[in-house]
Amino acid sequence: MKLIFLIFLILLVFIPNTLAHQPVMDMAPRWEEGYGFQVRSEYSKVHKQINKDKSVSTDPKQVQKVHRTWLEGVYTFKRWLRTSFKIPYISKEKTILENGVYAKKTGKGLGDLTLGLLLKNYTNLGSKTWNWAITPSFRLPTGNTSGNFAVSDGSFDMGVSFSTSIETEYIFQFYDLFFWKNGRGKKGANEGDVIGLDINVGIHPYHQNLNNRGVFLLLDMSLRHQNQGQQIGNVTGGTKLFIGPIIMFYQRNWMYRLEYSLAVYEKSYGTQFSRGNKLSLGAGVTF
Amino acid sequence: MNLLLIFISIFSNFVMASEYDEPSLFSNEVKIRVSGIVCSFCAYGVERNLSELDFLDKTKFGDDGVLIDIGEQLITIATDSSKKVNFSKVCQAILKGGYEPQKFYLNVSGKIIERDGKILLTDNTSTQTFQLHENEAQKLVGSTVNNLKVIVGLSEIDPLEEGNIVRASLSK
Repeated sequence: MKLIFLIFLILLVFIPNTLAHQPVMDMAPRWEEGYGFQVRSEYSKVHKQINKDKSVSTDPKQVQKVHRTWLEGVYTFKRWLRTSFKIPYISKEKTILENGVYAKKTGKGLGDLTLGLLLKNYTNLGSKTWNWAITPSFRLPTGNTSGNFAVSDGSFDMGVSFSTSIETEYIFQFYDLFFWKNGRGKKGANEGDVIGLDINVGIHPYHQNLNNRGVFLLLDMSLRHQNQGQQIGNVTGGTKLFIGPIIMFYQRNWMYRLEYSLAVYEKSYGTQFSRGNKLSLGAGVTF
Repeated sequence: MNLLLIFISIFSNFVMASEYDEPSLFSNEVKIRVSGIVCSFCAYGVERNLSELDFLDKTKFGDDGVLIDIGEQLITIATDSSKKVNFSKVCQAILKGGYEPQKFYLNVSGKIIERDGKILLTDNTSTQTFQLHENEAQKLVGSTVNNLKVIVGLSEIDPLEEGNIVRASLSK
């Protein structure tokens, strides 16, 4: 137990964050014909602009606000085969200084639909369970490409992730190495490909058997690198590291999560807004 | 290198097998040891599948007759004493829920007889008959037992549940 605690502390300090590639929760629904939905709402507001790893502006009149609300779903055919989808509704705006004048740019609407096929292999050993998975994914250009700060670049993208998660009564760990090949979009958009590593490690400190109620405390770490590219109206790409805590409460088949993600390290190609810190609230249910 | 050591430590901890004591039992319940059942949110499907079985006493354990203990990797189902427990259906409910049952534990009160060379334990309500291993139960033939703890292994369950007899061992 001391060893596990030590490892947890080391991971907490030295390793970079997770993202819900897997709706609801990586381990659920693992039952046949199970399905679930999750709604997550994320918000970030940032004034800081960076070029490479240097801050180049913190002008309070220049700002970027992004609000994404995700609808995610999953269906389990067999324990080893799941399909998932996620689609965001995005509302975003930014005010930047262009030719000496503050210009406001906005975009809103449905974003791109991501479909995934999860091939999982579970092993249950005594008081532990673990699985590994290969997940090919596709991102369809369903998003709104209009506006001067469009929510989608209109490209067809393909991704694959290799993940594993390990769980005991007290400890939860999730590791996901993923790659996205981003296609050419509209209006000259051509975002760079992305490689990333997401890690969730945490503890399950409270659980009540009779009410099926419990809490997970996790640390979400996300390291990603995107090749230099072009979104509609701005340069994209760079290396980023986000870290933040997640608290998750569940009761029976309902789950609620609160996340806060800090931009710990960012190095960009060209001048871009920092992603900044992000607050995320979510609720999910499985059947 | 340090990271590699951390991962090795995590995985070696993971593969260490756990040992369990036999669970304590009350009448009209069956306890099932299930590997890897460590989070009840993940085990919701198992609980839902089991709660649909018609031989459960749904007045117990939060009105569905099923209790999952993630600390002991045990599922307890409260059973209706007037109905036969269909072990095969319990197995299927757990398997479809994403886990593997290992052993079933239950108390049986009834009479032990020998018939056609087999030692049989039939419970007092005559709803369930267990075939006991000869070397374990020979000395009990002819006796009436009260809350005798029996163990049913996964390999002893007939997937087709033909007849009413389930093979069982006596608890040590």
